[in-house]
Amino acid sequence: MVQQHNKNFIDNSPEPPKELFGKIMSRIHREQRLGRIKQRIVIFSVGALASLAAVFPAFQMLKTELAATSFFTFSSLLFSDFAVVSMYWQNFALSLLETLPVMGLVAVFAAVLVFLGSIRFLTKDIRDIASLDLMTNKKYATNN
Amino acid sequence: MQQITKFFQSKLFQGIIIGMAIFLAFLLIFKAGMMVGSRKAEFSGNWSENYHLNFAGPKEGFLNEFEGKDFMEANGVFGQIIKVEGSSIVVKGKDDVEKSIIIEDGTTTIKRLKDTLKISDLKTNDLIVIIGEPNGTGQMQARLIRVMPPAPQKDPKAGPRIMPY
Repeated sequence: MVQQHNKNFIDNSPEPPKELFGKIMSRIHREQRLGRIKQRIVIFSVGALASLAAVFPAFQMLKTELAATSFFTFSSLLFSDFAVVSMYWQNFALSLLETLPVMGLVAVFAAVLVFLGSIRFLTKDIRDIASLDLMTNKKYATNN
Repeated sequence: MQQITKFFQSKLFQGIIIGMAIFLAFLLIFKAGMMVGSRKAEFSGNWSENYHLNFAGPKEGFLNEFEGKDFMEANGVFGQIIKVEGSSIVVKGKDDVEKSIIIEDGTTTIKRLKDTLKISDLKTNDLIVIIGEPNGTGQMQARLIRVMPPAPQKDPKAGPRIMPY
């Protein structure tokens, strides 16, 4: 009796819609993508904050290096003695390069570059996550 | 918000990032070149300094006082005149190293504000900035000498300085 009932239930159970499998798979993919984007958002947020925090000590380092070298004094000759400097531009360029605060500049540029890169990827991911959320909400709204 | 997002995704912003990355790469390559050059110069310096130690000469070497100092700037000096003698001057730079500067009448321009000076106008304690060319004898042939205005002296009786803002 019970077996017959079960058999009748299985035989007469409604067929799932054909597109159900596709819908489930696409939803799984969307959730996976969402997870990956959230992970990237965390990484880039940390990157942006860390690099922003690193900009200040990097500037301090650059300031100290500039104070230790005569880079600004040599640069000022470009404004006060342009004619002579342009005549001996090779010596002038070499004296500037000799006093260039390279490590300070590297630190500042690296920190700013990481910050700007993180911001760029962050905004892209936020836009992607917003569009994914929007898509999910729209589909949910149309299905209901 | 959309405007900001649009800017961060724009070609202009991408160009700025690429430009900065290229400049950073240039700085790193420049630093690497400096390091390699410094190592070679240091080795050559040590080799010549210790030549007499390894083969003959005083135990402490001739250039002992320069030990631990960074390499000197060869094409420019900023410092104070400590001696004027004939057509050359001795300048003490920021690194406390004395450098001998040769002044040639035809090729060296000496300036203070808008005035052009002669070597006889230079005095000890003048603060000068020099652009020049190093020669083979460890001296620098000056091309441009600009006498800088003297740094403001602190008067101990004057009390705390009031900034004009």
